[in-house]
Amino acid sequence: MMAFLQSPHGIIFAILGAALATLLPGIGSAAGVGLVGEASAGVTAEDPSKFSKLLILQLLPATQGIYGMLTSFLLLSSLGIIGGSPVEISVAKGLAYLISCLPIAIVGYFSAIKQAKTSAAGVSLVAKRPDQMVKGMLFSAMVETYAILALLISMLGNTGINNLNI
Amino acid sequence: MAKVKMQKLRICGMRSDRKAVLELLQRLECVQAEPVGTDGDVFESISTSQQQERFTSAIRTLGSALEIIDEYAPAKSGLLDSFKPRPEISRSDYDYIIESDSRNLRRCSEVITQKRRIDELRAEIARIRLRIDALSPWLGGDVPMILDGTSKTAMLTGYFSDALSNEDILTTLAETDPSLEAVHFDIVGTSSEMTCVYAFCLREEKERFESALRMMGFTRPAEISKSSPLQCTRELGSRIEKHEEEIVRLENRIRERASRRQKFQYLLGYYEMRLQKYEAIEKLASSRNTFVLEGWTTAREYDKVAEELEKIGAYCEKLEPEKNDDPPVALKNNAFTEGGAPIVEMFSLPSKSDIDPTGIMSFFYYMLFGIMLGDAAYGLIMVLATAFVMLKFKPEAAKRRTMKLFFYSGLCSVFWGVLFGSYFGDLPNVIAKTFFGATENIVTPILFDPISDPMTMLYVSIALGAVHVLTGLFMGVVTALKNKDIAAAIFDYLAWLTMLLSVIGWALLSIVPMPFEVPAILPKILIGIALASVAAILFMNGRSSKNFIVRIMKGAYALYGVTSYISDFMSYSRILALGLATGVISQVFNQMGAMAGGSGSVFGIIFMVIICLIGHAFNIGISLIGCYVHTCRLQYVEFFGKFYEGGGREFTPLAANNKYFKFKEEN
Repeated sequence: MMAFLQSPHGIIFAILGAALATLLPGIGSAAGVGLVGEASAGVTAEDPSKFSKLLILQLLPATQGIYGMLTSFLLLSSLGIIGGSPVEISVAKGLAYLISCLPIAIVGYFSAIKQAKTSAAGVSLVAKRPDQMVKGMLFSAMVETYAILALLISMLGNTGINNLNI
Repeated sequence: MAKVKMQKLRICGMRSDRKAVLELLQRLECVQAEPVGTDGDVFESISTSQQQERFTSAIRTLGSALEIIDEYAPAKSGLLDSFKPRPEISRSDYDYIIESDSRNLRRCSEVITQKRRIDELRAEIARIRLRIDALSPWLGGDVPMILDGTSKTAMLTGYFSDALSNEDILTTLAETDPSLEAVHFDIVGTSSEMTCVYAFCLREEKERFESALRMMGFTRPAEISKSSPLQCTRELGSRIEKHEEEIVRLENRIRERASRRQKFQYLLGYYEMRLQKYEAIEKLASSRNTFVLEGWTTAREYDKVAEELEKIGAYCEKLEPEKNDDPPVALKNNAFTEGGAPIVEMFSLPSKSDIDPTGIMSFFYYMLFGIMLGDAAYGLIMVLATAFVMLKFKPEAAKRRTMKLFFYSGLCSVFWGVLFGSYFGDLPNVIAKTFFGATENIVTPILFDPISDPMTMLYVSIALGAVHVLTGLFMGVVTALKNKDIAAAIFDYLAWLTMLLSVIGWALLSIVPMPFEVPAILPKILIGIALASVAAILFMNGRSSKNFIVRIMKGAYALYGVTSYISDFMSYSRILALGLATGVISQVFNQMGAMAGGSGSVFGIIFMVIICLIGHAFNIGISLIGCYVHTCRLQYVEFFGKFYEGGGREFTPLAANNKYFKFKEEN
């Protein structure tokens, strides 16, 4: 077991982590933005002047995808996969990266979809009371807080693991 | 910066002057009318619902006509035209347009009728198309489908829901009713689902024939042509053509009306104004010969109002506001803070007991937005774009304030971007390394680079957050003092402030190595202050309860609120997240560009320019929305949550201007 953990092909696991960090929040955000878009299209059909307000609501669940990509990009940069020569890391270190990517991967996915539902509710709020749009926006932004916390932990974790000597 | 001081007033005058007084007030635009209580004996309020109804219906007519005209002849307007101020119109032009109101209203009704006719024709065309579709399988038939036959033969028109040949039909018929022999079938059209036939038999056998056919699944068609199917289709086609011609003619007539668009808009504005006047009349108390109007004006403008009213023979006096009066709110801002006004208004205007938070909030808004975006080049683009709009179009107050918001936020982004060494992300360094063979970064951050040093950035974000939250508490102290609630100022706000400050100070002293010798007594003093604050909250927060136990319980519950401060501070980590998102996305595009441009060929460089242009434009768009939303959240939840209630009523004076035009100032 120890021999396996110390063997040098850990980069595979690190890349798996980076891939998951982009994959899951990306899927979540795509589903989320789509969901809010569907709701917005209906309202826009009734009143095209609400378009810009609805666009903001639609874009809110897009950030999880960006956070995921951000984590992956920083990880791939530090591994030298992007813009440099790839470093050789142990399986243990690779697994550590993989685990550290999980918070944003998982929380990103679920929070994007939950945020989209809140945003879609905001869309119907805008349909009835356009002046109350900001409140709808805030309800939705509340959900995002947890994606931000997950991002922080994933990212700070990855930065810490860079300096880990295993 | 501050709320405008309001003055309650009462205007009395002769009923015959009522119109003149209201029109004067509309022109002055600084008096908001309030309903006057009537005793029902001498004074009573007048119902103007009939006139209001008339104006509302005119407004509806004009509004829908304008909508229809916009649909057929969209107003040509540039992307930035909405920033232009409203057109100005002189009194004489205005009067000229108003005189022609009945003619213009009739034109609008015509437009609406024409549109309705177009819709009817469209529906009719759709119905005809359906009939043509229904006839299409029958086109092979050369006699009218309605034909009954001759004196000796009967003809039946119908179809079988199956693809059948003449032989199939005859065989089935022989099986169904062998006695029928003198029959003939003309198959007019077949498809995989149906066989359309003209069936003939002897007239005296018609009934038997028909029942036999029915048993075979023979069905009469829904659409039966009076002439031959082909001819009928042609006739229907020419009807469609005629309808379409009429539609084009009607559409052109609607388009011709587009030249009157502005007149219709002015007229709409005029009716909105009159509607407002009659709504104001309902708020008055009138006796047989006099009327009384009560309302609010700004303290600064009271003298002007009184003077102007005197000129036309109305009397005006100041009223002392009563305890449960709720004066309307107008905000007074200077050139720097007016950018924050839309943000405050979006939340809620300050209530009677609130202070106007716009000034301090604007400062924090610009700062937090700046650090979240954190890119000097993006900031500069915002500054230049908003400055361009403000100078070129000179937009009116509402639009100008939004421009100011982004102007100052952009300035702050430039400031933070320079500190972080971020210009389009790391574009200068990428260019230097790709094209000029630089091995070192040519641009280095003055402070630190948030992407390579996120922990420091996190500390900075949370420290800024602490300043923001503590300022919020301080504003709470100020608000409570303004409302002369000294106990609340001390125990609800000041105690928290001292507790948080002393705990933060103590923590810093024990964690961060200080460059100077820390006196040993200092941490003890800080802990002492913290404990005293905790005691103050514990014993005094529930001061409204007489029961000591309940009071302590309430205090303990309030103390539990300390957890919310921790989550408040952590919430500011979004500054780091959004800053990194902006920075990393621009890095991604820069690297993609460098890969393309790295070859050094001309195409590569063009490609790099395109990638960078599109990429950074996308990044600016998405980052601006993110920063806007999250800065708002930090203001509304973390900052306003500490001291600000909102719920004020907006000051909406009677006004002659409307969204379509304003009057030229004439002397």
